[in-house]
Amino acid sequence: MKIFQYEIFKKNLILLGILFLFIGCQAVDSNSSGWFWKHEPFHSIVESLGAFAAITLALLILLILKQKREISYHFWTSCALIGMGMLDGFHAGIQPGNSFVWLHSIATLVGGMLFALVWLPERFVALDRITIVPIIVAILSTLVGIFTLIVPDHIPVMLSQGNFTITANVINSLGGLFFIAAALRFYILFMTLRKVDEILFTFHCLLFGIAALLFDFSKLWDLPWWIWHMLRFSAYLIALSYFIILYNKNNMQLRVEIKERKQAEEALRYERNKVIGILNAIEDGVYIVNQQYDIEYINPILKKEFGSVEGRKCYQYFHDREEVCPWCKNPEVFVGKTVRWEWYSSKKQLTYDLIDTPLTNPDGSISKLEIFRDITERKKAEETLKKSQAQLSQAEKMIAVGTMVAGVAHELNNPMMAIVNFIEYCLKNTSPDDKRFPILQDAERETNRCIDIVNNLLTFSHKEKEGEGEFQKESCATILGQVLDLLSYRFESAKVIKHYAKGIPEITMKVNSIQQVFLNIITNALDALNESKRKEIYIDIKQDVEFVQVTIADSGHGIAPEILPRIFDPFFTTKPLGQGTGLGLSISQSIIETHEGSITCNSTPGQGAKFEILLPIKRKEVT
Amino acid sequence: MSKNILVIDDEAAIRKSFVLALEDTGYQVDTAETGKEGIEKERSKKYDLIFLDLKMAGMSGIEALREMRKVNKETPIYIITAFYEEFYDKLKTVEKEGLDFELLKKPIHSDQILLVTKSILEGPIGH
Repeated sequence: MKIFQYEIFKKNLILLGILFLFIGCQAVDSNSSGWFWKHEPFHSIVESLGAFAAITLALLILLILKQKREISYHFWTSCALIGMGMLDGFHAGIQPGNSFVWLHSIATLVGGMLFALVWLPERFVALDRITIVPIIVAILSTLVGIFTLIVPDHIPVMLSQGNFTITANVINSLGGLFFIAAALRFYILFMTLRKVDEILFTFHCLLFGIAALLFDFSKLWDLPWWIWHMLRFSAYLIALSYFIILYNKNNMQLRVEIKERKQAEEALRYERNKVIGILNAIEDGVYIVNQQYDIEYINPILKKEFGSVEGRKCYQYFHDREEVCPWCKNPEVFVGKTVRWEWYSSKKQLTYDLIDTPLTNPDGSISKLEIFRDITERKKAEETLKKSQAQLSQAEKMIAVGTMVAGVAHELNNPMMAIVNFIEYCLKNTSPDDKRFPILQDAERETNRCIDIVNNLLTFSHKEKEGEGEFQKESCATILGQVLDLLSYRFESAKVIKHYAKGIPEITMKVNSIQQVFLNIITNALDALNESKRKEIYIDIKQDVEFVQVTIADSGHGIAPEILPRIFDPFFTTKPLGQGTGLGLSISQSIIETHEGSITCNSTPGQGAKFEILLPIKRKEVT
Repeated sequence: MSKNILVIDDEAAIRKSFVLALEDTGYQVDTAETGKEGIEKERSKKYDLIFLDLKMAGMSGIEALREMRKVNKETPIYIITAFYEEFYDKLKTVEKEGLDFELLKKPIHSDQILLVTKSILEGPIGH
């Protein structure tokens, strides 16, 4: 973290260092001048403040390390500062004397040694030791301090006739050298890391080192003695102020980070609520499944449809399968593709439009997000549309075919008439005993069939509309009566059960055409009764608001559901070859439509067929 | 006295159908291939019954009918056709003009030809 313009800071420190060195040298030179200033309280204050600064600094460094959860050589720095601070604290508290010098010297040595540990590789520092080692250092320093206070006689001799002994000088020099070694290490680190911390500690250690070496040239209360005290004190203050600023900045940044994180969390919570709200509210089903086919999320609508998951795999839950579905889209989705497909749930009888999208999890794995859209209704509508389109095109085709057929049929009339007349002539002039006579009869019959077919085709194609007479008022009951009379020869075994409501109005219609419709339907009904035990035909007439409803039903074999939709198609017949043209119901339908009515058929196989004809009582005026 | 019948139709097979159907009846059956020929024949001889085709190349049955009715208003004329719906409006017009004709729809069987002819020429059966 670059807080300071470390270049400026470095220059200032260098200037400061040079300044102190200069003063130091001047002091040594002027030592002979014999300047002494004995002031114990002031010395105590300086040392106490120094000790306090050292311990505060150590704690600050530890705090920053913990905050950043970072391991670094600063760990040793804080240990050194604690050791040194504690011992200097004791030093500040006692009367000048042997113990006084001893505590200061040992403080310098301990500080130098611990600082020099920055040379150790980083693996000697671990985050879990960050608290315990400084505590041990603090305890040991305290023990040395207490030991010095209790048994001052057992410590080495430090003072001899107001001068420092060799022991004192050696201890301090050693400490000083350790400090300089540490300074060197910090400088090397600075050269690689280019951080203000390193240059700060380079000079911090350098000041301590110089201070310790100055010790050898000083006496109690003389000028060098005060100078190296000042050096140490300034080193503390500089380091402390820097770290206080650092800590504050750190803290401030931390606060900003916390605030930002809170805002982010709130935004996240809002987003989450929004997404959950959407997922709960939409009509589409949504679920997430992982690569092990475990359902990780399912939205309420889908859960409502398929029940609770209860730890089931997706193939168990949705498809009632015991193994992975062969159509599973997961392999495609897990390589990053989005797949859209349709699924018909036979269990629910619903068709779904499915969209499968890959979803990347925080750990980098991919899950599948699937969206279910119920398209059953749309599907049905599409099918109906398709069907009606097909019907429409079929109808168009039939109109075209009808027109063509009508033209052809028309042209056939003349040759047909000639053929039948020629055959009739031959028959008339052939003896019934002649073996050719029955063959001629066959020819006549077949030709008549051709004539019938042509007639039917013409009726079907509406070409005969004017020919079959004008619209006139007639009652359905009357027409039905005529038809039943006409077919009476076929009613020997079948029974007609009639329910004619009273007061049925007459309808404006083409009598011949309607007659043909009834004839067709009743003929079909009679054909259907051929193989039935119970041979009954039910004919109902009733009024249905603006319509007269004629229902003709039979107790025959009925119509198979698969052919029911086709019975009104032209040329569709189930009758044996030669017994029907397949046009009867087609013609009937077009006749009823000409009358603006409708004809429908219901049938249950084995229970007969029922035709319902609706004819409007009041026809719209046709011009 | 033998009765005369004229068949006007552009199709030989139809003319032949009439001739064959009316064979051995004692009636004299003449045929004409076109409307024009038919009118000429009708003017040159008195016919008791005329069968007239509607759709013919050249002069149509309608025109032939009009032409013949200018002179002769009595002889029953049967228009025989499979195509009368095409001429429906014209037939209606002709009818409104007061021109007498009957309509017979093709195909006509030999017994029908006989029946129609006999009922016209001999009066209804049983009368």
